Amino acid sequence: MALEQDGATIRLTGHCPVEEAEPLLDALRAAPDATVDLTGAAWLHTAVLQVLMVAAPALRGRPDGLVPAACLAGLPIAEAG
Amino acid sequence: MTNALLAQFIPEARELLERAGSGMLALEKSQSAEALDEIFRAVHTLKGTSGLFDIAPLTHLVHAAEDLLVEVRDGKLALEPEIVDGLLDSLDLVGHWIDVLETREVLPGDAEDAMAGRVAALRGWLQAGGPAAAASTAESQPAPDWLGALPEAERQAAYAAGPPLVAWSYEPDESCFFRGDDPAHLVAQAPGLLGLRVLPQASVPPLETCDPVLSWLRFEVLCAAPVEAVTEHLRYVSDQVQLSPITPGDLIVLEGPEDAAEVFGDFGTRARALVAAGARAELKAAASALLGIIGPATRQAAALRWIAALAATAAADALLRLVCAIDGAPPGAAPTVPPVTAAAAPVAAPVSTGAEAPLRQRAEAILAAQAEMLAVPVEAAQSAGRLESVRTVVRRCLRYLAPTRAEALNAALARSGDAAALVAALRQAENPAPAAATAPVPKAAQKPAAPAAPLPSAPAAEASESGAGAGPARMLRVDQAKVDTLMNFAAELVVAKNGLAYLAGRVEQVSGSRQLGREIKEQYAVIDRIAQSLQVGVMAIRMMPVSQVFQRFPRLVRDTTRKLGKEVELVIQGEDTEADKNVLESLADPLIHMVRNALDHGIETPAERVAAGKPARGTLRLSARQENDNVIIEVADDGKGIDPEVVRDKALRVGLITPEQAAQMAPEEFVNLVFAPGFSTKEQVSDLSGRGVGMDVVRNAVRKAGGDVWLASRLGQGSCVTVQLPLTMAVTRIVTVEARGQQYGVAMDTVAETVRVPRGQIHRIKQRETFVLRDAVIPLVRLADSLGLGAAPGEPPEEEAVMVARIGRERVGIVVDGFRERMEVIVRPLDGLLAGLVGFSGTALLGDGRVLLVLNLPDLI
Repeated sequence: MALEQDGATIRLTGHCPVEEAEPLLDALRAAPDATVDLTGAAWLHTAVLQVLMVAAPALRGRPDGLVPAACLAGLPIAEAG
Repeated sequence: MTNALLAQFIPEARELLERAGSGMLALEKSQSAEALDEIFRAVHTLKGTSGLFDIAPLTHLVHAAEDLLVEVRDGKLALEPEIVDGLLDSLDLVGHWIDVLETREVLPGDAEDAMAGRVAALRGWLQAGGPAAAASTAESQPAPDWLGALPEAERQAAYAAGPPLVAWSYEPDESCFFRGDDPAHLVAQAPGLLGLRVLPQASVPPLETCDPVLSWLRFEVLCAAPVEAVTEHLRYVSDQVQLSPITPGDLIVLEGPEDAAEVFGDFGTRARALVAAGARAELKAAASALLGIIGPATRQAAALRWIAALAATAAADALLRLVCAIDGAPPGAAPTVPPVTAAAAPVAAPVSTGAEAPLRQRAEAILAAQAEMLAVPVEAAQSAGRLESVRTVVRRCLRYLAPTRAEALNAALARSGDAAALVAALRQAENPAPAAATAPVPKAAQKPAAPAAPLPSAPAAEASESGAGAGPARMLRVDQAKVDTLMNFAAELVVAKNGLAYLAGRVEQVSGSRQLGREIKEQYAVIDRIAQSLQVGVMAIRMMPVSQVFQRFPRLVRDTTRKLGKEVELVIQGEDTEADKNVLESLADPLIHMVRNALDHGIETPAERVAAGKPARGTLRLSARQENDNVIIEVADDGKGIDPEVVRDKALRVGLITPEQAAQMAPEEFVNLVFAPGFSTKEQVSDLSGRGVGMDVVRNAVRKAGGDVWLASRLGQGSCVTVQLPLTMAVTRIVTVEARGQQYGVAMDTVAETVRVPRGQIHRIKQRETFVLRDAVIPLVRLADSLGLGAAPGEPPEEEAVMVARIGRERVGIVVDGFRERMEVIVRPLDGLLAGLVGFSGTALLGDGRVLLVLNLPDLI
């Protein structure tokens, strides 16, 4: 399972396929103030990136690569901790 | 099958393969783009759907085939027969895998290896024929107008990377996730990816309503790679991509408000000198220094950053153009944006010099704004600076104005310090073009929406494609068993309604009421009509055009003739003729056998044909037509025909016929001996036909389906095999006959006629009774004897009822005790303990509930 929720933090790890988009969206709808932790995420599917762009949660860490960076550029960065 | 999705995939895959295969043959015949598109679509769909299952080798193979087709479609690869062979073989392999999938739900173990070999072959052609004409797509296109929106740093990196550069925008269609696409991944894997921008196609959907499985992103990407490489990378989404090769110069897009500070003029002068002197380091230093003191958002600042970045590497003219963009001095050939006032919105793309009229309007608008500004009263200290800045703006606008207007303004400018004169000169032109002041500015302000402009083309193309793919007819896939059940009920209704006829008779007998009997008969007529319509309707569901069987022949003929080194033109006629599905299925194998025979034994090699005075290319004609309740299918060739002498000798040699029989036989009868078991005219067993089984197999199969087959041939001119099959096997028309008080059914189509023969006309020849019917001697068989029913009690009747039946090509008279009614019944084969019973083809239920045995005459005689 690539999606874990730990209190106000939603953690995406490893390879996040299109199937993760819906649970992520549900999680973010339920907890709009949640922080999304991407430090362990290797690759996010376009659908997952889209959900992040829509919900615009605070992010911790960014996956490598120009494409995720370009998608998530406008999202706030969560304070460390 | 447990996997419902897979169960759905399999027939679909077969259909797609069929379509691709027939398209391939059509394509080989005539290079039509339509056929190619058809194949491409089929293969592409197959690849897409196969991705849903764990069948990677299949997907890879189809993928490779698709790549090859892309090359063919782009005209980079000629469709050689070898390539068609390769593609067809690959499709066959896929078809084989589909068969295995159907039974075992996994691919065979050797699939991976088989795939690797095939893919290597396909890719081999791809590379061999590939790069030759690859440049054809790289036509010069204007650079996309969204280039300026990419981060400047990325553009500078791209400039440094130098050509080849490609800018492309990609709008994945809404449902792309369902096809397993991951657009971000595709973009991330693009060759030479330098920079990109991701934005919504329309607007970001709101969190509450957004659907996570619909795509709404647009990617604008810059790649340092040859356009061919990028095209290749994006081949599966080519309809969603706009791709344009660009030059590094296209990347220098300067945006931001104009800064008219005097300092830029100074910089311009100095920079030109430095460029001329080749002092790049100083130029860079000067640019950096100036950047330190001005705001970062202006056009000038952007140009300075470019100069700073490129000073070390770029060509002198590129730098000079940038310098011109800074100080506004007339450039030679400027890729710069026209200087717009500080108030105007940023302008996106470099504007070509061809667009004079809008520029003039815009310049006039700027001048009007300047005049307005000058008219506002200010303190004297500021007014000097303001006047100076207006003068700079006016000066820069001059070259975009009408010549006379420019002269007037120039004169006003010459009197420096005279603000009033300048205002007057500016106001002059306000009148002729008052509207110009407002119109163009909003246009410029719309810029952020501009990238959406090329949008409509992609969805439109998508829609038309899916429209064509859906096909004109609305189809329903139904399990054949359901239709068969329906058919059985319909047939039983037909039989059950026969009961009403009995009932009417009984009412008359028992109650003596003719009136009631007649009413029942009227009702019977109504039900009869409805039942007939129902039966016809259900039968129509099961009816299939013979093209279902015929469509495999183009391929078969092509492969076979290539193997045999013959040239054959296949002509198919009457493929719309319809017949019952079961009948057609029973016909498929015999037909293949006959076609192979015709190709192998019938049609000669081109050399032989030419020697015989015939065209080198032989013709094989497959035709179908409907005759009464039968389908007639003919396989005719214009080959060498069958020599009756050869057949006769062979038949005598293997003991099929006796010399006495041979003496009585006509030539066409000899020819038909090829259907006899164990007969093969060609001594040598070839790979294709004559594998120990001969035409007798064909005849058995056809007879089993209730039909017949015969052959006509003319030596040197060709042969024609005719197959006759009943339209449907479900309902059989029978006539009932009586023997020793028992009723039996006989299929109507075997009965030629019924006659009454006086005892005196029955003659005994040796053991056999015979009678003469219209000058022909017909042997007689007594049904009661054949069935072992024993002798009839009492005196034999004066006249015998004789049913003349056609058995094969012979006529036989069958003596029965009497004829009863005709009816339509479903003949059910004997099964269980009765299965081995000889002489009966099955049983049928009568209207009054009795069971009728239906005779199989050939068994009895």
